[in-house]
Amino acid sequence: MTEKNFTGLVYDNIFPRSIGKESKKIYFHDSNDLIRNSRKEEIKKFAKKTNLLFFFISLAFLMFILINLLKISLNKFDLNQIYPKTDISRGEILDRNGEVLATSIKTKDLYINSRNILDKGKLSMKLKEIFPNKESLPKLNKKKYFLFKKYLSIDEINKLKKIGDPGIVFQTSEKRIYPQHNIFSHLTGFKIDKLKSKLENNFDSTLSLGKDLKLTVDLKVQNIVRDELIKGLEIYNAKSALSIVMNVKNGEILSMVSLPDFDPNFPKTIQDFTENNLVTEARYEMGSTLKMFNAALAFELKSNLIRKNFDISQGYQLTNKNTISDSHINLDKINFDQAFVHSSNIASIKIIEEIGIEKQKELFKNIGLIDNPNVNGLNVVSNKGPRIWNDTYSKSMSYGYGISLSPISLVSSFATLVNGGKIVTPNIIKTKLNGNKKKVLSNETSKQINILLEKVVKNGTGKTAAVAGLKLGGKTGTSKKVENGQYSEKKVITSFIGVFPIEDPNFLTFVLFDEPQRNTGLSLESFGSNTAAPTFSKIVSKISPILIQNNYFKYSRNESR
Amino acid sequence: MRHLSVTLFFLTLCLTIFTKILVSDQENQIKKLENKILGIDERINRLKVDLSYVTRPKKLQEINSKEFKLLPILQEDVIKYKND
Repeated sequence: MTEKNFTGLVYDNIFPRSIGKESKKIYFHDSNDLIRNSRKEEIKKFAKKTNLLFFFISLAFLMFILINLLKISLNKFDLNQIYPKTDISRGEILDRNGEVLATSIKTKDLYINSRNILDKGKLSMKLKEIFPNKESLPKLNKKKYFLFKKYLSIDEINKLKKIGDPGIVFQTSEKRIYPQHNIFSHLTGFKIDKLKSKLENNFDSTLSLGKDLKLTVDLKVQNIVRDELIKGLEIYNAKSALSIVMNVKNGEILSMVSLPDFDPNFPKTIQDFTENNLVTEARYEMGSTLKMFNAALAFELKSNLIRKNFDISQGYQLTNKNTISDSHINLDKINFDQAFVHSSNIASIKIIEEIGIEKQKELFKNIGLIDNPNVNGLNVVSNKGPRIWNDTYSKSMSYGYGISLSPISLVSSFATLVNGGKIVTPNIIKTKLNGNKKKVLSNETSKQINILLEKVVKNGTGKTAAVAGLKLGGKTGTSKKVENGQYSEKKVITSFIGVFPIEDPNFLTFVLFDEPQRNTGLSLESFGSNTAAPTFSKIVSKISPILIQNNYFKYSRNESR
Repeated sequence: MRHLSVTLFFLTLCLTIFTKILVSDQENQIKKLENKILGIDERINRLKVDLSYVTRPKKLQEINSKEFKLLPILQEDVIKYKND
């Protein structure tokens, strides 16, 4: 058989060879290397295929590397994409001008690793020297690794480093600080570890992502309002006080103060009576400030009431037990304007008597006194109206009783009275403003309301609210507090709500004192005028130049005269 | 073909190692810069906080009452100024 004809491994050239007698294995010898050559050929074929594959894989890999190198050299990579920041600082809370109200700083915490301590006695002594008030030194012997003190000062860190003990371990942490202390406590709230309140809590997701929160409030305005309110609180010996300054055209709140307040840097000092923001989390029977809604009804319905005179010489029998009088007014008959200028309860009842319950109900609903305002980021308490809107309640509400409102609710509804009848949503967060606002009152009604408010300040109960050099209008309010299910003769709520400049109001300021103690014995109606109104005057006198300077509203010389 | 493959393989290997070294070096530089930026950011933040403390209204009022005794501008002052 020739090699050419050789097809397959025929064992012609292979012959067995016995190795030993005892061996059962038989070995074959490939004498002409046919099998070896055949295998060599197969290996060569395989090698060629593999080589080709290897070549292409190498080429592909090379191309991949080259393409990536080219990509790196051509594109500007976002570093954050390569190294995502895991250590994001909590966002800041800022006022409308970028002043810091809440921020976070990196600090060091001191941990003790008991295993590594060289000299426990010496370390204990040194720690006692650095932290004389620290009482947890005995722990040094018990726990292996524990937190000794949070938020070390630079001085403390330097002293600890000088000890040089390997048992001292520093760990970086973040501390929330409030540079303005109490001034914005009821807005920012506080954050300590996982405990959060108010904006810190309600905007936690935004702040946690490192995004800043810009508020509509102004630090300077807020400080002035708070200072004057503190003075008022002391002078009138009141239990608490609150104030709001709001832009009536867009609902932006420039100041919101509630006293007593707290220092968010020291949350442990917060007490129950200091924790609530009274502007949004309390409700009051507002008294005479609500009378302006009667006027709005009369103007809106073009009622003949505005030309009518009211007899107030006799008391008005509201219920069997309750007779309403106007003892503070030394007139027997008053006209429509005088009813508001002198704040007549009897005239208010008579006005609503003629207008009717349904119209009153409709206005209260449309203007937002029944619904609860939604202030983004703040918790707002529900208003409490009458269960049954009957004749007695309707008349009570005409002079400010029988309905409890949160101050923010009254302010936003009052803004609608003076801004041309447009509904505004109070806003504490600086956002793009929505231009479309629902209109519930006519421009004429709003104009008449402003004229009436100006008269109250010029000739009526609001005289003490006047500010030299600024035309403004407003309404006093006084209401008795309920004590043991009855209206108290001694405990009252006094308030003043005012707007300026009166020709085209831009700003509304509301001041309220809870249980002012002095001036008892005077007429209730004069309470708002001798507590809240003078405080309002002082506040507006000081904040008005700031509002002008910051161009918060258009100002001309003619307007101020 | 075989030589070409081997050459290509070594070329790829060298390039890979070179790229790795290059990237590691760049990463280190970025980390260093990041640390520097973090440090500077932290210092800026602390200075901002210090500035907030120093310029807070209460502090300015204290300084004013001790040093300057200036009175606040009232609305009537604005009108007087405008009329002058």
